[in-house]
Amino acid sequence: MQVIRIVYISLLFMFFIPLYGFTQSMVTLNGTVKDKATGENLIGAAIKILSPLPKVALTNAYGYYSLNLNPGKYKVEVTYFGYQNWEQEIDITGNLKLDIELAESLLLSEVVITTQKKNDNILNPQMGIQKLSIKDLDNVPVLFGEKDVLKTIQLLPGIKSAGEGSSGFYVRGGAADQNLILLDEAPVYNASHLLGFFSTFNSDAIKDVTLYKGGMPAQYGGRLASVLDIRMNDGNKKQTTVEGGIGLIASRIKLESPLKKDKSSFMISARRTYADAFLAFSPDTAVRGSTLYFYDLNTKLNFQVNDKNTLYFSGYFGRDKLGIQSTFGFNWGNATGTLRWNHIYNPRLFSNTSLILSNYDYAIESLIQSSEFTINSSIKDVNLKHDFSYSLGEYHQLKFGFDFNRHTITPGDLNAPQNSSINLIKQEKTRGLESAMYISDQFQVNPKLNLIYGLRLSAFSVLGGSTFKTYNASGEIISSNYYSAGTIVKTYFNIEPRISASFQLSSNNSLKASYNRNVQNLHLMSNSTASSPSDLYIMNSNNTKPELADQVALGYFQNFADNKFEFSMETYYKDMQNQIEYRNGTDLRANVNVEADLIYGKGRAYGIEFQVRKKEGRFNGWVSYTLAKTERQFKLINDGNWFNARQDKPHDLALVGIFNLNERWTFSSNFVLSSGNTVTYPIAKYQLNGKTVFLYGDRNANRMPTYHRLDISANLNGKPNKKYQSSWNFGIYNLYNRKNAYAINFRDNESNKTEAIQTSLFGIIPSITWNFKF
Amino acid sequence: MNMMIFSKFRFFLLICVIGMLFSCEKVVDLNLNKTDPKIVIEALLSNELKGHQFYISRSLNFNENTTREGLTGAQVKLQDNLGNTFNFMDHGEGVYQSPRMRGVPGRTYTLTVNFQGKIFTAISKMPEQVNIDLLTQTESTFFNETRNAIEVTFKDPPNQVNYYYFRTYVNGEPRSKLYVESDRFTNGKEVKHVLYFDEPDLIAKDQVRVQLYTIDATVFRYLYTIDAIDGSSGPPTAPANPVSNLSSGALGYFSASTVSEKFIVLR
Repeated sequence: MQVIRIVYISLLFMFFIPLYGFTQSMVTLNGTVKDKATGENLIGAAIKILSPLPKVALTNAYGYYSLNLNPGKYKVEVTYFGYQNWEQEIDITGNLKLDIELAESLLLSEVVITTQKKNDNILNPQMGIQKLSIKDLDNVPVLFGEKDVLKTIQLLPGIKSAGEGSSGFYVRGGAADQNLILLDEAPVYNASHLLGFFSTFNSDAIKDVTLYKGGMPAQYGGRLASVLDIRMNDGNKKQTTVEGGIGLIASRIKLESPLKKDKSSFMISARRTYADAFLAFSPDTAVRGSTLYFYDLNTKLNFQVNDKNTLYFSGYFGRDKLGIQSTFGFNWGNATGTLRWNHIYNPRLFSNTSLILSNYDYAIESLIQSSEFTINSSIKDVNLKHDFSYSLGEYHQLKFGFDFNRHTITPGDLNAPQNSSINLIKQEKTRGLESAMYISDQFQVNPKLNLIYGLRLSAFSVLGGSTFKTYNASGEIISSNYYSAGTIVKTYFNIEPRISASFQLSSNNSLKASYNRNVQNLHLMSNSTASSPSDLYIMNSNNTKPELADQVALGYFQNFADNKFEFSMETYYKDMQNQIEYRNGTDLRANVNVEADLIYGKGRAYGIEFQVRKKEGRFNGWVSYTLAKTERQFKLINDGNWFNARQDKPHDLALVGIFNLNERWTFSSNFVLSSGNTVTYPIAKYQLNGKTVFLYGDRNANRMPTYHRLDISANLNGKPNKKYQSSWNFGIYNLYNRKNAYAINFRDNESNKTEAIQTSLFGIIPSITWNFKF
Repeated sequence: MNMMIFSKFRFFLLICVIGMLFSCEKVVDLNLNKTDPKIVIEALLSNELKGHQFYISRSLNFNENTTREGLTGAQVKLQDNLGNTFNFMDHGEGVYQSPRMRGVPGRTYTLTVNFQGKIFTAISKMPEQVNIDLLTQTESTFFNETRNAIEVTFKDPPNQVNYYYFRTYVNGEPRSKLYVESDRFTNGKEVKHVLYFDEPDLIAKDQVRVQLYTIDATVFRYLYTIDAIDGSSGPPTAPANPVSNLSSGALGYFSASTVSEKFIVLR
């Protein structure tokens, strides 16, 4: 009954708000902001009215904006980072549709002196947000010269690398699985290739990257630590272009073309690695017969039906394949598809409906004679979302909507032929329905105070169709019940309040504060020291409860030297409930009772993040530093004392510098310095049947040596040519060949002494890439 | 299941990493924490008729020489569920020997060790006998390297859960490599389990003796935890101490096990 009351109250809330503050005399300015050269919608462009009172609207993910005004004469300004400002004086007498095209600013053109101050970072009430421009991505040096969104974001404050060369990341003390990674709204369950050395995101296909590490807007939910919202290119609406690149380990190609000029277009982008090409040169037949590659395919199609309706289709397919001839095969990959319908009901009310499919699966195949088997595992989502945005009165931007996502997990059936010595093991599929409704309001209370406040109501229903067991404290089965398909075993309801406020102290500094609660219903289980594509996803059940996190954050933002430098400082405290770990010695191989081996505890994380950034000019870049702590507490671990979480790294420093020498040469470098990963070292050893066995100390009580590394790169643009453009990128990863610790293991040497052996992965690695566009 | 596949897989990935990415190893100095010595009990009772030897030692600090530091002066007593009691003789250097006796499958045994007034106990039930049917010599070729291995064939009893622990001897010398397996993937089947050997590699004329011990779930989990940290059944797990069936914080285990053994001479 309580649930019904909550739903009822929230519905009232939803319908009540639009009535308040509604004035008939207002008119609406709306439209889309696009790139002049390609017709791509620009996400997050600012439409500003400076007088009588400053007002700002940002374009949404489809480039759409809407602003309510009293009729009158206004100076309208449109700004977007990396683009030339647009300015016009407009006499608005009635509703006006104003589509704007912005031209890219030339890299080295003299800075145009504008009255406009670029202080969006000061005004925006949203905190805990990190945006990455595609230009940053182009310039920051990376391993093998393979541009990578997930590696570049690790250079931002509060975001830490999960390991050497890894695309895995930790946000504000959260675990790697506590990040919601969305590609055109579709959740991506394993965002890495080749054991994490590369991400699944081909940067050619990406338009916009936004990471929320705190103060999450109410439209997002489902993970504790962060939301990484990645949007793909729509496709060039003006002309056909082909671009691509040939690199050390992979090649890329992208084709974009209008279907109907300025109305509809498509984009298709592909990437494949060719590490396996080198295997063919090996003298060993087993090596020659091995497979080792991955590929990605991104595709997008948009179709403007009329002024009020636009359809988008996006698809992503990627797969890794590893294998040795007649021994084993291992492949994994994601497939996502998103069908979206934008509808403009009226200039103030915009809606988007999305139907999303996401699938992640892996297969392991043993081809060894008499031990043949295959394991197939998958996680599948069918997701329907309906989102609205509504401009209410002069000072409110409402967002509301609902979201239904049906998850199906196939934990991994073990199949074997008749003559194999291996038995078939069937693992039951698990099913769940995640539903949510939300409402939020961005409210300009007065010229100094901005608020975004909202509420997300989420429910997770554990669905029948499988057996549910209960366990006692030592993990033995007490009862076992089968629930038939279509029944609801249990529903978890949660209320997630979200609030973020900014108070402008002056035109160049502001204070921001936020509180948010987040809920996580899917959990990635791993008991190994490195992540593996076969790590197991589980969902809430009668035993496993939703993970909860409450985060408060406070920030100070200041711009210096006429907004040339941006300084930010954010501090946060996060409390986490229902965190999950394995018992010691859990056998994860096709384990049907894996829940018996789960233990539950809590976590806390706190820290302070600093960043100074110079966004423009010939020399630009940033310095970021994070001081943070993240700990966990479980009754059965370390006698119930708090211990360092795996992702705990107290210090994290990143320096990024980019220098444009002239129109052809750009140099860049980055330096990172961070605390080593937490590890558990032995405190004693003993012998069992001649084997040395270690007695380990408290969990994660030790730390690997400090990590640091310097990378450099240079980009050379080819001479301007009418037919095509080309560029070369040269890079050196780990310039001074630092041997950073990847793992430390222990073994006895010949003289019966035990030694600590450090393994390092990447020494100095040069790279070269050739890019072209025509 | 032949879990060696996972180990091979890991090795393969390592090769990729080494080959492509120039990984390297070096010995580093670490300042490790220390702890007070703990008692280590290794007690394997079998159904052979003999004087069974149990070993009691102390744990060592990391920088001590790796050896077994035997503890003398303990009182070791074994009792079965029928009330039979066996007192062990202290043979010095941490070796304790029972009178000539035979463990009986199906009986539950209780081990009691009294060391300097502190009592350590453990309980283990001896599982049903499982016999090795055949040992065969096999080869594994991996990246141009052919190594000998031994395939153990045995029939897993259906309708029950079985856990196995293998010990190997080459030319009479015990090998320390740990092999444990459960029948989770092979229940009731004729199992062909391949034992791979660490260095020195097996060569022609080597005499190999393989013992198959049946163990209970607790001992299996103890040994499996140790094995998994080494990464022998998939990616190495985060280090964690195994849970022993011995009370009062003793390290090691007590297992009442049936044993079956066979010899093979390599071609």
